[in-house]
Amino acid sequence: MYLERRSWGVGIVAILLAALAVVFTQPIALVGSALVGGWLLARQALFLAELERTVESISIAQSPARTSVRTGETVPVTLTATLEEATPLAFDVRAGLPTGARATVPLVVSAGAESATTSVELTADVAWPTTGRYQFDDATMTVTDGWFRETLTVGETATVTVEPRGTGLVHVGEGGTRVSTAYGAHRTHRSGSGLQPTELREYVPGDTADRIDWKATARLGTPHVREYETETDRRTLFVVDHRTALGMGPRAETKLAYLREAALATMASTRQSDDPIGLLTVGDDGVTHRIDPLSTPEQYAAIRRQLLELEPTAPDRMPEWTATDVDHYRRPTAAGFRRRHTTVAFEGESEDEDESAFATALRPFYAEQRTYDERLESDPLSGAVQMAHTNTRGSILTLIFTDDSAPDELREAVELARRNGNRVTVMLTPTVLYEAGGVADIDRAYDRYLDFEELRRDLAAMDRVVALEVGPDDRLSSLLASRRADDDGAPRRPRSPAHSRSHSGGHA
Amino acid sequence: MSLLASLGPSVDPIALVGLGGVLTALVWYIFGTPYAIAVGHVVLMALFPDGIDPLSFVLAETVFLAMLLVAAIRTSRPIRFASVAIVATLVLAGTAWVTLETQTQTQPLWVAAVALVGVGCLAVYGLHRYELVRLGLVSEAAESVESADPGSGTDRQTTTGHNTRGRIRQ
Repeated sequence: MYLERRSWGVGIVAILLAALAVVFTQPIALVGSALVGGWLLARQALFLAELERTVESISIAQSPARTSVRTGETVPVTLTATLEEATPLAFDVRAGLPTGARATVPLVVSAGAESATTSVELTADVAWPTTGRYQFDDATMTVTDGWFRETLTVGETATVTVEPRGTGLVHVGEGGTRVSTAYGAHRTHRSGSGLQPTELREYVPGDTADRIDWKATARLGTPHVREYETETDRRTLFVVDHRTALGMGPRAETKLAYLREAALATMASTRQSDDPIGLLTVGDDGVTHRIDPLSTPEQYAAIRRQLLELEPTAPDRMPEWTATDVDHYRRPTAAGFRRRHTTVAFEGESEDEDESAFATALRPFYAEQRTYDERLESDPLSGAVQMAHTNTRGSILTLIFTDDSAPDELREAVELARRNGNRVTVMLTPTVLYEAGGVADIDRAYDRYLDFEELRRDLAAMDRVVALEVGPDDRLSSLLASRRADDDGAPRRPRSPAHSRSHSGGHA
Repeated sequence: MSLLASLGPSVDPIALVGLGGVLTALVWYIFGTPYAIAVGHVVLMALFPDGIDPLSFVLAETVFLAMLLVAAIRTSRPIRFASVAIVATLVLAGTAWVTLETQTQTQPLWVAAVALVGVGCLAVYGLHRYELVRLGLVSEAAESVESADPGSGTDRQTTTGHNTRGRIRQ
């Protein structure tokens, strides 16, 4: 309990009266001092009684609109103070915002003395710039009657979890159904040396004696040979599209971010099989990076690093070239490729421009490091696949990570990749799941998803081609769930494009 | 006070009392009860430089007491305020009186003044501590120190901090 200035004044008056009594030898001044002192003590006792009543009757709540946010997001926080009965004391309540939170306005509510107010409330936007788990401190209440003041902490606290920006649960599947694995053990259907037994056959002249299975021979009475499946490495080429369209989506939740997660997970499976892998990254104007298939640990590390560093390219914004510049950039390099710098569009930049000093300082370094290994004037994806297969001998599994924005080019790329008996896996992101407000109109979004599904099924219908969708699990689930709810609770997955389309049309 | 004392011989005493009363009422109206009580007692000191007679004393202090009660009426808890004010005044004045009556020194008044001020300060601090206990603002650390050292007698350290109901900022 603190004495306000007025109380200090009264206390000093009481002391002065006592001093006057001594100076003038007048005991009556001591009586005056006792009266003033008594008055001050009565005020203090009154404040204590009212304070106790106020603390008993007040309830304070600090309520963030959401308790789980992403880094940098702003969430409204409401501070409410409710009294069961009006108090003659004036009070203000300050929210116990965590140190890591930034409020646009001070989150303080107040009520004047003798006011009939029983509830005060204030909502302010609070930014959460740093990842972590934050617990609100208790709200701080300062109560005064003008003579005395007390500050204490009361009320309930809340906890806000700030998660880093990034992809949520990644869905990889077909028509909304998740597949357990997109890459794993693979059969060669060829016999030879290996560990996996395939069949037992009778001995024929020409088989060497060490291939005879003596236990089977003893059991069956005639010489038998056990065949094993040949163990081979499957060369795998990751073709990752990182053109402008792949930058669509909120920051760190773009198409490219989800494809990157899928690619990294697939690469981990590849590494377990010790299969040689290579990488081809495709920008708006051609191949930005190329790593030929190898199975060394350094190769895996290099591909992983390259995938993590991948940013969407921006379409060429041709600067005002000087003649010298044009000559320089059009001059073929020693390797026969035309190399040129290109600009990089940072993921989600268009939606949430980062103009911080840190980002501004770093941007030129990132913008300058991207170069094209080979420029392709049109259809860079199919051109890149063609280039890769032209320069590669033997069978190869091609994993294409792209979106559905250029279906014709994608079909052409898949056709090229599956030539010569090669296998192809296509990981596709549906654009509708990444657009701002893309799933707001459920009917329209579902129709667009069916278009995507039609493309995926077309690709999956090709020989030796597997086509999977990659996207945010929550958005896809909510789209399909909303649609199911509209269909009178009848669970429905898009079984076939034709069926689904007619159903959708009927519903509309 | 010197002004009133200088007017004493030439002006009617009733007029002087009236002037003192008007001055006190003016201060009461402008500055409030405690300042009016202080000014009123200064006026009494000026009007009775050789000591006040019992009747005048009782009359004057009744007026001041009435001012206290009027102040109490204007509060949210008049009875509580009035009773605390009267009891506290009696305790403080009684302290001074007892001190004066028991002193044997040549200058007993300053001791009574110090005793009155000291008891007043102790009472204010005592109410402050009572508030901490009533609102549960005594820290758990202090309680644990006390419970861990139950035989330490009266010299126990107490700090303020937080408990289940809240925390006080010092």
